[in-house]
Amino acid sequence: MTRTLIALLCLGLAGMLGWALWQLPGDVGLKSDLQSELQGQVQADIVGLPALVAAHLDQSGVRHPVTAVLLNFRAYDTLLEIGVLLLAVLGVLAVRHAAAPEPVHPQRAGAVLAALVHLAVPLMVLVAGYLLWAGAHQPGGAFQAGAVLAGAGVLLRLSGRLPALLPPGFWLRAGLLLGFAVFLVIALGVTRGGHELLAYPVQQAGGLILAIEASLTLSIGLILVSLFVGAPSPPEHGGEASE
Amino acid sequence: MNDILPWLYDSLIALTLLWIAWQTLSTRDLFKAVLLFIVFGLLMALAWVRLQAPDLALAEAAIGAGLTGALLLDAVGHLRVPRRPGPRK
Amino acid sequence: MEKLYLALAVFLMLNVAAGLLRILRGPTAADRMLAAQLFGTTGVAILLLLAEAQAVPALRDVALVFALLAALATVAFVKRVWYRKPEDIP
Repeated sequence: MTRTLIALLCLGLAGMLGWALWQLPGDVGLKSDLQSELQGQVQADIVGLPALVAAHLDQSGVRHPVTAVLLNFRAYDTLLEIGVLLLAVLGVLAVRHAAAPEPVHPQRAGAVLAALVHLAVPLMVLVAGYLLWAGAHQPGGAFQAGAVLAGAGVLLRLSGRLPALLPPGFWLRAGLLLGFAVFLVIALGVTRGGHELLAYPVQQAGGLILAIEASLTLSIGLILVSLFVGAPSPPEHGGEASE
Repeated sequence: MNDILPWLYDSLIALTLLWIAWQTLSTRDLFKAVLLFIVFGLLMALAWVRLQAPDLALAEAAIGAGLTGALLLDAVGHLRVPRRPGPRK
Repeated sequence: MEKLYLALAVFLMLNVAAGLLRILRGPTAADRMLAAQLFGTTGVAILLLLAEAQAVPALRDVALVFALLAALATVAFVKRVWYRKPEDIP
């Protein structure tokens, strides 16, 4: 009975998703009169969003349309997303076990793992920086770079080189907050120059986006690592193979 | 002839994705489900590539294949106790 | 040349499908983990082939990220899931 109900609900959800996908506006090409777009969002349905983005790409400060949308045209969404990530990590830190900080055990890592850490962690930091920089003109950006940075942190944690960071000290808190804070300060700062919230001046847009993305990378990396490190590592002894 | 290879590749990836998704949901072994989920993330990244969305592929590669896998495996390690089959409804 | 790349990608996808059987059958957790790890390598190869076939150089970055992060899951498995003999622990 329950299974039938769940199956029906799943089918209903799949049907709704398919319907929503079907309703998406296609790319029907750019209308000849660009002025009509300025009348508002309704026009976007008719013009097709990719064409709309392409038409305004030179005002965004970056050359990659996805980054332009995420960090400029729809920056408000990204700002709130970082807020959500921050709230998530606050939740994890709030419900953590109040365990004493664990000592660091570099000797726990075997020779193979130690070699992997020595090779991979610097490479990961390098690739994170590259992805951050590449985001301006090709796929990449703060989120991906932050994830790679977090990968380095997780690797360090797994090899026992990173303490549990509990309770979070001042610098960790500051790092977690940095991206959101810089984003918010810039978002509000541009309003002093007579612009709308988050409407960067066209000349400085590239620099502002880079500043936001750099701080976001650091914060996202720290947030993702904190999600992983928030839990204490399991006891080393005992336990069964899962088979 | 020119179109058959992309078509073959796309349908192969789509069918494998659906199959993995079903296996992930239906398996009773948590560890197996986690591994299948990691593989699902990998194939999803390849599917994004075919859908001309390299940005999503990059995010999926970074999050799905790397971090989520480590997080979920860590969770399995914490649970540690093999899951006993529960009462069937 | 594109055709060759795509054909190789199809071949590698078939490899992945065959490797899935190892994940489904086991028998041990390590067998399953290594099969998943193999897919990481296969995925890198497929991405590099597609980067040429579709002429999207950015896919090489995806392959790079894959190559860097695919090892994470294995390390997590070894450190957190796989049983270790007590005498191995310092």
